[in-house]
Amino acid sequence: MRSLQRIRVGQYYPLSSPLHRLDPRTKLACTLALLVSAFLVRRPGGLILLLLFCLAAMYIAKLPPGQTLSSLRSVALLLLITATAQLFFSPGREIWKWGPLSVTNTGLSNGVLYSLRLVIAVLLLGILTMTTGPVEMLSGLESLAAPLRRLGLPVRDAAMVLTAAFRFLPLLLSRAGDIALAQEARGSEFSGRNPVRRMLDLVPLLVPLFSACFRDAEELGAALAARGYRGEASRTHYRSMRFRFADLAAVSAVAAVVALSLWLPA
Amino acid sequence: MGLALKDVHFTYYAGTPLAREVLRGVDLEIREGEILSLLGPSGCGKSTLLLVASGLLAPRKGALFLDGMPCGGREDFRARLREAVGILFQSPEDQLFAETVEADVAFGLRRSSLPRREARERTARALRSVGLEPSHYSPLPPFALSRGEMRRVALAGVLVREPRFLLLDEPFSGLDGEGRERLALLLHRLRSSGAGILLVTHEWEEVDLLADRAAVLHEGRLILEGEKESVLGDREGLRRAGLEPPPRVELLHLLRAGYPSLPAYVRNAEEAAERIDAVMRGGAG
Repeated sequence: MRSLQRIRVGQYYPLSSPLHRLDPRTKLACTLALLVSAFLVRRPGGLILLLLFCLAAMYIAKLPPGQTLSSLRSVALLLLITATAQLFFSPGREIWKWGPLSVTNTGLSNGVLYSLRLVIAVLLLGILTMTTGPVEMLSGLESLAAPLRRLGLPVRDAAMVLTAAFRFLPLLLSRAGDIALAQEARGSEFSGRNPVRRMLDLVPLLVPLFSACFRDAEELGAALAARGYRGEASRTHYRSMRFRFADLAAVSAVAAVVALSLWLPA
Repeated sequence: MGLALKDVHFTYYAGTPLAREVLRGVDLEIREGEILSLLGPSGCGKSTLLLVASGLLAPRKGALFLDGMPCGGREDFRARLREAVGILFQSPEDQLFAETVEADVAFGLRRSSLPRREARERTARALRSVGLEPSHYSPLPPFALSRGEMRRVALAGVLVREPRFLLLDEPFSGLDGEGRERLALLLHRLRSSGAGILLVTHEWEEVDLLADRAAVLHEGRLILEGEKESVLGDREGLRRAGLEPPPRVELLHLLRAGYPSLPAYVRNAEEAAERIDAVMRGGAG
């Protein structure tokens, strides 16, 4: 159960950096723009520029490079398959041939292009989630999705529910860790080999965890009602999002990189 | 014979920017047949210390000794410690899960190779020792009980393994008067049967009543340790750790300016009255 205490990639990494302080809407929009351009760009030069930009963003965000880059491990297999498929099964001028396998010039460049795209996409999403707290992320999404309210969608309530859920996630994790330790102290083992036994071992963990969750949910609901929460009615936020100079700088930097990567000569 | 921690260090999230060093070289020994009370403000590392002492967390540096024998290699270390040490977490009623009280208490015996009858007997014994009559409570679902009863069921679940050392994390919090009294009696009884108990608490009353020795943890270091009388009488030391000394100790401190023969610590109000009375009469006569 040690894994409950480790920080995982993609999890918010609460540090203090210029990137962490950016308006979440800025970060969401910039990530989206960079993602789209990563898939539009056709020249390796542009992709390398985007990759360098990602690395620079990681540096500015003070993210530990080892852990951030290790997020690539989760897509390593996908990367390998993509690269191999592109390498061997693209039409074009033949460079190298061994039996039925042949590598073509377009295959080589496609292999590199597709792998780079995947790497950039994973890094971008990693940087976004590691620098933006879940609550911030949701208020950003809520603000960006605000126009949907005109269509009668309960954007605010959905955001509230999701925010509350995310708020409780760290609590849930630490509570799960506590219960796991308590049961381990009583002789539970969460690392056995037998899969059936491992499932059964989860019972002492899940039952108390669920019962605690229902208790929390009831208490939170009562507390919200007691403090005057009235659903969709308009509410103010304690932390209002503001577009600052840093956001302008970030947006311009991203715009410049996107433009440059799209028009960069081969 | 005891459970000893030597120069124990522990860091959460070690090797990341979020690393937080919680224990910074703790030396502590829990002896058999005594109650050692661990004091300290919230967040000073008390609960982590308990986790390390129980073998659930491996210290980053330093070592644990069981009866003077180092608990070496990791696997062996945990197995031996877990055999000898029982730990009761804060609000342990949150860890109950089984359908009946009996099944929950017996959970700790599941992996032991005890014959079924022996296991049942031990379960009944554990329930009785926490003051729950097995014939009545065994078939009940634990979630139907009161909080105090649930806590006692959880404690029975620890005692059923018959540990030689007990680590208790604020076992008194949230209990009513009767529950406190019962628990105090139980701890007394366990001590006289030879168990070594490490008791984390915020209440002076429990320390006065139960502890033989006391230790004060502050920012991951033990800053006071010794006989209860000397630790609780150390007004400045307690202050340094961010603890408010018991009112009796404050009163004695003020009186000692005029009557230096007064002790720095007395166990309770009666003793305080007696000593003050004696000194005042002596001073008058």
